[in-house]
Amino acid sequence: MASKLERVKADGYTVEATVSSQRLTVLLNGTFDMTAASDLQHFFEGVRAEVLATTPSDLEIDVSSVYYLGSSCIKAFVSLTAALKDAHKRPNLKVITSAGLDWQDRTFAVLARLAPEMVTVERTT
Amino acid sequence: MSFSLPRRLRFIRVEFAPSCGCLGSLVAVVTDFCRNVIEDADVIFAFRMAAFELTENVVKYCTGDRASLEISVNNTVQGAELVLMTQNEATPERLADADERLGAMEAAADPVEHFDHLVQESLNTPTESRLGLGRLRAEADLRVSHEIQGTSIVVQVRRRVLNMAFGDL
Repeated sequence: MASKLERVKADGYTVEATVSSQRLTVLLNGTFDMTAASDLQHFFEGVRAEVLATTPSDLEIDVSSVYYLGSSCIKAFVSLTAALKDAHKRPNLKVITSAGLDWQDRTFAVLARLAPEMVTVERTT
Repeated sequence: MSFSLPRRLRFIRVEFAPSCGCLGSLVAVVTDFCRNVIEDADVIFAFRMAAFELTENVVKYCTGDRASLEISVNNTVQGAELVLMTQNEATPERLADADERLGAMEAAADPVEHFDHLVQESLNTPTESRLGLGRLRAEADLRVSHEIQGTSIVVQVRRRVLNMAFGDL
């Protein structure tokens, strides 16, 4: 089932979301440098609104096909995590990383430190 | 007989007009340089990340129409090291702010703890992340230093490296 979140397709990256039962899944693909920050921030504001409106039990963000994530885009992840961790019905936020891209675990570990009761980082094979 | 080894074994220096459009080319220069001198994928990625973060800062904050980037392999008494440097002009306010923030970062004993502090701070700054250089220490194990030179700021990141592949040197 498609979510209300509109797919973002730009030169170098895509962001899209799907909903299934109690799970909202966000899939990122490509290189997210400073030129992608505005799109990602805007998309995550939509994700936040969708989560607060529909209260899914799980929010899964798959970054396994992300080849670079700049600090401007890390801030978008940080803002989303901070906004959701105080929500009345906060979801379990799982970040799916690639086993072949070691930097992803180091980068997304900051979210688990920010909200350890809500965020897990899991490697896909 | 005594002799001194050359300090800089290989380098590329680029002068550029800061714009978002040049980011990809600058990152490619740094990444290709690193691939030619070392096989360690972690180190190559660390300097790719550094190239993105440093050049993005230049694009965001440079007030002049010229900036420079240099990637080099240096020979030190402790061994070889890779060094990436950028230089750009900025406003006095921005230079003072960068001097204070970079000084605090360089002095922090625990890079990860300091980065987490920056993350908390970033929640109060809606338009800027200010996380870029902090993550270079926390995530990429790079040493970061800076110097204010008049109206310019020079930022260097470095990492000692083993098993350099010097190719045609």
